[in-house]
Amino acid sequence: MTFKENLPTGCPPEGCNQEGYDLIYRLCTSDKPTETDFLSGAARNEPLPGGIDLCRWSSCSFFLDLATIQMKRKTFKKLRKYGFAVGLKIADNSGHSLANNRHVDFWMFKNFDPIKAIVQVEAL
Amino acid sequence: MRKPKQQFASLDRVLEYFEGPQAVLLQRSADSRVVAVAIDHEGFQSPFFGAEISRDQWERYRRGFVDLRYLFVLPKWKTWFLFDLGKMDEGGRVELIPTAKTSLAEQDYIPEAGFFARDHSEPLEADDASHLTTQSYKIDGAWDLGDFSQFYGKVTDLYSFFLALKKYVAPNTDVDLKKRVKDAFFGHPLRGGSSYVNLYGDLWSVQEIKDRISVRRIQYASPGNVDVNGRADIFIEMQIAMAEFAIGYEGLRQAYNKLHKYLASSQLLRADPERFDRDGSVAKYLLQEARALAALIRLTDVELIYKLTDNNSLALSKIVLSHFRRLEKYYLFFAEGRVQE
Repeated sequence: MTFKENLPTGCPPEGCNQEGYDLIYRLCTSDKPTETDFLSGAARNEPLPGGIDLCRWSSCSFFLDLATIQMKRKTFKKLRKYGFAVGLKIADNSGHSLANNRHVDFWMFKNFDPIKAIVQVEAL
Repeated sequence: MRKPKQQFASLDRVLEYFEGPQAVLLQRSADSRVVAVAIDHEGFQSPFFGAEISRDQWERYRRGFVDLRYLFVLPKWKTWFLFDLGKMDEGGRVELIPTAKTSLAEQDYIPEAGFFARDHSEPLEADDASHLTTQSYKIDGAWDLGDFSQFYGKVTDLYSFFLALKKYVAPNTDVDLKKRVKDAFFGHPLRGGSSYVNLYGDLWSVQEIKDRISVRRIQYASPGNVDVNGRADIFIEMQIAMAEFAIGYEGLRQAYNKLHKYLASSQLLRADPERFDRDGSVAKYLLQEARALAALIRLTDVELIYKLTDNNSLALSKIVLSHFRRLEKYYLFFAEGRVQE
């Protein structure tokens, strides 16, 4: 299966799975997100921060629940620019994902449409 | 005008990640870290605002004793920096630009209260390989707040005592810490009450945060649980001593009484060990009895304690007796059926 973005060799990393999520949240600046809101830092051609590997930089970040999002936004003030939590329902085999303490790195397959997967939008 | 000296730090780890690093930890020296959060700052590729903390502060944070905000508001080294993670050099270093903790920093950068190490997206391993375990005590019967305080006080005293001795002989313990252990054992007149409290207080305070005992959970019910985190080898020492108390408490008490009575009748209980004749027949007798009592309660470091008291058998006797008293009070919680392991 082909990935939506060009990924470096060895990416996604080992330990990923292809299971779906009933509800998983992406932070967005708009209540009407577009495909651009689901691009990774690498796809947006943003400079790679020091100490971050290109594979991770090529993933799309999600959170597993709203409570986690609210806590992170309260703590890390730079995240307050994201005013909306966009909930997606992701079917199995839509990509590879790796979860760490309520945060998920997601590498989408080419045929996955994140806009069509949106099931709710919460204002933060 | 002389240009200020450039300051650098190396990236140690990413603490928080969302679409890039949101919080990181830098290392400057053995006792200096910079904990930092991502910010918006013109002219920087990947700007961060950081506070310079000590190793101990980092360990306290990692173990959940303080929240993230605390590190930014009260950093040990009272310095704050800006840096650009996008301008890391080939050696993995970033240049630190001193800045102040202004009202802007407070408003836009410094994290709000209530975020702890357990909340980070990235796993936080210990700097050293984790050797801590959880000792679970099952409690039953009636407990009031004073009982919890007393029980935990005895656990803490015993833990500090054993830990200080182990740290003293550990190969990687620095000279300063060894001196503090020695001063704790031989820096008090041991003439009663507060002297012993100070001894154990000093033993507690020489511990490094990574070894310290801590309460993980208290579930007050009947039966309930008290879970305590600490070094496994220390808990084993305590279990060994408790086994001896369980098997032959009466005999141990008689040995204690014998030594204590001798000190009392010889007017030595309140005598200052520094004025004690270390070479006389009384000293030899005390050494023999202290060693005997120590053997009964499986205090294998008795010779080390003797050495730490500069071969003073009066000080040694008093320390062994005080250790016995704490073991006994700890044991009685088990004997009363109120605690099981």
